[in-house]
Amino acid sequence: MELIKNTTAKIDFVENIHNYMNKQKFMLSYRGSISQSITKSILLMTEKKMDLEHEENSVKKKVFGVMVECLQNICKPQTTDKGKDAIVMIAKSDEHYIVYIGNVIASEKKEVLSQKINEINLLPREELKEQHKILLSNNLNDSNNQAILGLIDIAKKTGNKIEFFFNDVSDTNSFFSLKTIIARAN
Amino acid sequence: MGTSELKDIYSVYQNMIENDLIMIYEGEFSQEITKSVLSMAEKNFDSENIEAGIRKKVFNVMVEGLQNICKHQHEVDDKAENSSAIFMIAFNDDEYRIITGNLIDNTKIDIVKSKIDTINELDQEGLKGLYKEARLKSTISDVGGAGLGFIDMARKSGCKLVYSFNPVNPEISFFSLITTIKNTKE
Repeated sequence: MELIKNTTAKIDFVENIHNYMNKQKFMLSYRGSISQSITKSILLMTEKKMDLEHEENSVKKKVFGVMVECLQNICKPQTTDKGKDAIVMIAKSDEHYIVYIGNVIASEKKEVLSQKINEINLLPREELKEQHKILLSNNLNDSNNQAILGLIDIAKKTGNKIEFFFNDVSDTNSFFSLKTIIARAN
Repeated sequence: MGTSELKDIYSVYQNMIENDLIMIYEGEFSQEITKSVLSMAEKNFDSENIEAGIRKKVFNVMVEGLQNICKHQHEVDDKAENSSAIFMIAFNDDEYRIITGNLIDNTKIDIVKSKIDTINELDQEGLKGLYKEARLKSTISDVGGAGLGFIDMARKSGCKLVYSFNPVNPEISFFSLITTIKNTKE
């Protein structure tokens, strides 16, 4: 009985999270390290969800593509602080799917990242394609390059601006959040 | 849509860390979604090297919890804005917690409450007896469920079931349930 008394006050977090997820139309949130197998199961779950919604194939393909870029190239261990987890969230509204990722990065990377994303957001489609090609022929072992390639790919696929935000974590670290929007109807 | 929810991602991340949450699923539950939730948990077991006995228990509790949500998710359709439910997995070095939240018709609260309270009073032997008894009854009428699921969850968990009912409107409440499975060798 002790246990029940101790935890009833805390149990409210269940409803709070439920209300928050509902309000923001989030369907999935995962926190942890992003391994190959977790990537697979997050993709699987998203697929099942889209099946449930009878989503069009073209939309499915885009959502998948964006998620793969997010999980494999942007949110990767090299750019994440060791031992720190990443978060992946997926939201669905009537018009969009929205993929969010967040991870802790060294604050010194903030400037370069912001600059890159702002640059990408300004590029017209043709130019994105061109940049993509150039980067592909460059050294892909560079994790920075991979992240940028991922961002360009997302911009290309979605046709939408990439939104991002930094929260301060400590003197040296920041939390980097990124939001990408995929339209449901063509 | 502005960037307000983008700024929130870090809070969600912190909230998940605070509550040991590794996964949150919010929405409708289908057979396929259930399967992919279970598969995600499996990946976590793998990466954390969880021993077979614990895995089995956690798995069982998850299946019961998910079934519970599936079975009851449309009961309140005409009384609530939506029948969205929540399923979460919490994990730390000591334990797994399987957390479910769903809407419930107020007329059913007393029954569920008394079932869980009865279960929480019993030790393993008592639970075994109750399980046998409930199984006999359940073959005759399974409409409200004989509480088999709860009994099974309590048996696998070895801890008390922690729950709460919070009123949503005059007709329905939000039912939260936390089942803990200790991650220790017997």
